[in-house]
Amino acid sequence: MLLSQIGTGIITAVFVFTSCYFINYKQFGNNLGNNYARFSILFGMIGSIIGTFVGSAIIGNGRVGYKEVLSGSITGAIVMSAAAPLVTNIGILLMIGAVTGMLSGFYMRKVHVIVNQRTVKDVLGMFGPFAISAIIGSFVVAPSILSVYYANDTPIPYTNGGLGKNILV
Amino acid sequence: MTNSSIDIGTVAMRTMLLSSISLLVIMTAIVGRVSTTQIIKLISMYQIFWCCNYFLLQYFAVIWNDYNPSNVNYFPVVFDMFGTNYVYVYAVAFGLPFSLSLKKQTLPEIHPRN
Repeated sequence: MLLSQIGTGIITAVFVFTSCYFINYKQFGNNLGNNYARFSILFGMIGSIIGTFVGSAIIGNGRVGYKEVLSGSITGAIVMSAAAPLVTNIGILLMIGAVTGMLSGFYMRKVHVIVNQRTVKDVLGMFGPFAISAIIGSFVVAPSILSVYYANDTPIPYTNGGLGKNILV
Repeated sequence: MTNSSIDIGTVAMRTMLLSSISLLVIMTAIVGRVSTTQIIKLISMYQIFWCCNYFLLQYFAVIWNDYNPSNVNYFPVVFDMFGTNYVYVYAVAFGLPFSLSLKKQTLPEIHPRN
């Protein structure tokens, strides 16, 4: 019991301190851009928590599961991390996080039980939310937002002001 | 990367922590289902392919993108700042087949988690 608690604390500390590395990692941009990225992550997490709670409560007859409470924030961070410097609209951030949170809540409430019906495939039930948020964030959200940038010919943050060349400032 | 001496700095530490997080994501799905020998094999394979993927994405995002004649910037998608692709997407791509292919050891069907 004590060992498991120590292990949980170490894993939590690794996540927290590594996120500090992410946030303070200024090699790819200036301070203003990093601030945008921080707020994108923050609002994505807020939307994800809301969506996870709502989705879990709808499927669970008004009751929110404890796993959804635990993993509601991290899914929003993952889904917004790929496109964090590109989005500054709070409504879009909340919506993206809420949709991902609802899908994650649905997975943890229904799909996780079905997946582990015969043989256990996802032991802790965290792999599904990670997979859902990573795939949506990387293959849906970021290309969609980039397509808007290209369509409007808007300069992308963390570049020299144009599309394409000289990406590392 | 620039010289032969061992350098423990923020970049190396960040890379190590990124790979650890990626491995932890996989371990959430397979913890309790693999033996110690399998874990050692998994970690060895995982670290080798993770580093290959990491530097390949850097190559595509920086070098290939700089010398690409087309006017397309892949940086936010391929090698994003917060590491979705090389941490979580790679963990999913590696861990999903691995977890589905594990059939030897399973937890009891009726479990408090379920």
